[in-house]
Amino acid sequence: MRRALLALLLLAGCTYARVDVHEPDVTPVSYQPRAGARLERSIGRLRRLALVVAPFEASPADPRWCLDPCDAAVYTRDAQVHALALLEDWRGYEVVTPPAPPALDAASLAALGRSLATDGVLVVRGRMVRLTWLDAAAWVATLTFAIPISLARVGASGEAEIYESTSGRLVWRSHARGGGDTTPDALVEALLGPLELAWPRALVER
Amino acid sequence: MNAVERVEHVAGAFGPGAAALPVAVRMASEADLSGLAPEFGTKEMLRISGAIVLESGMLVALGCPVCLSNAIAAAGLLVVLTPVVAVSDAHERAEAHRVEAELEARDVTARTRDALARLRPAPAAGPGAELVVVGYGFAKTEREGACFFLAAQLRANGVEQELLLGPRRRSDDAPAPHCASRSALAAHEGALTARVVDETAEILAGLVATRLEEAP
Repeated sequence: MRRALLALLLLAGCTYARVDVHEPDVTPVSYQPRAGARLERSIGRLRRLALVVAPFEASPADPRWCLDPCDAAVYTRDAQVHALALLEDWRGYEVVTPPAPPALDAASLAALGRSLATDGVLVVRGRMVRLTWLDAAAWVATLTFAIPISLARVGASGEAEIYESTSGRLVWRSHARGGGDTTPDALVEALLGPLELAWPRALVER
Repeated sequence: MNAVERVEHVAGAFGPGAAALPVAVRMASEADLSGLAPEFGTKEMLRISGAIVLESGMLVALGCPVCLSNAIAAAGLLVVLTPVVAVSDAHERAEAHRVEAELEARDVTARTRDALARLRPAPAAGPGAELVVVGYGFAKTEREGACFFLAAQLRANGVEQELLLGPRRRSDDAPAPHCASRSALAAHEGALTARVVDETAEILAGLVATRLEEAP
């Protein structure tokens, strides 16, 4: 029943998100909290983050097969721009972008975090499934009966993960999924919306 | 996403020795809760439906009998929807009042004084700096619901600086705002509102301490 309701919401253009990893105890390395400061933060203590947006996987891989424009590189770039704006302007994180795309295993990400002097590394990855000419052909062949199947198949989904620089531990993760018209903005919003506010610079020891 | 305007401040403008000044904190404004007001209330509902009934009635009088069906449909809609909107409106207003009551009970200036006492070493006696809160409350935003804002003036050694916390316009050293829906802010007797006020006072005190300590 829950799955059916979720499928209906996705078909209606809604975006679904959930957080399944949230470690309350994390250790920042880039700052010391100001003596006497009282503020409740868990993940937000990792106030300086390296942002890695991995190239989105696309289906179909060749944009020429898509009914609508479906360039995964453009989708990835827009997701990166939006993630940066959301993290800095609405969650208060100090974001560093790595000079080159890193390997995405925990050890490499922790090493990246340490080399950039960040408290953690935030990795956003996802995939997009778009309508193809084959869908269109199926609609014609089945006298439109295949349309619901196509709509249930298409969409965008992703994960956002934060790795602690000191240990390489996965300390926070969210998943999001949206229907066929999910923009990069909406997907990033769903993924990073639940992220806690960062520890403010005003309460950092100087 | 809406761009955020960052207001730059001059570091070290208060001069050497400002770090040791005592800070008096006072409030010069009432809470602005316009960001929590219901968007579509009973009055708007009555106004729109009433206008349709009146307009259709006038058209009927001018010889448009078909328009009678419009008038009847609008009147029916008015009868059915008005109680629903009225109940929803009353609920939203009750939530806004709960947030307002919590804001007043929490006293952001008193909490800022407490936080300043914790964050700064014992300041020297005598005339010192003054922090005046000139505006605070909740502002409505398109993407994050209602966001807490606060504007204050910090005066010391003949210099005055603005401290702005908020969703659209904020000081370059201010953090991201606390935002939530009206329902979330009002839930559990305004527990989230209380937390927002406490954290804002802590951050405001941190900003004041940092600005007074900054070297030119």
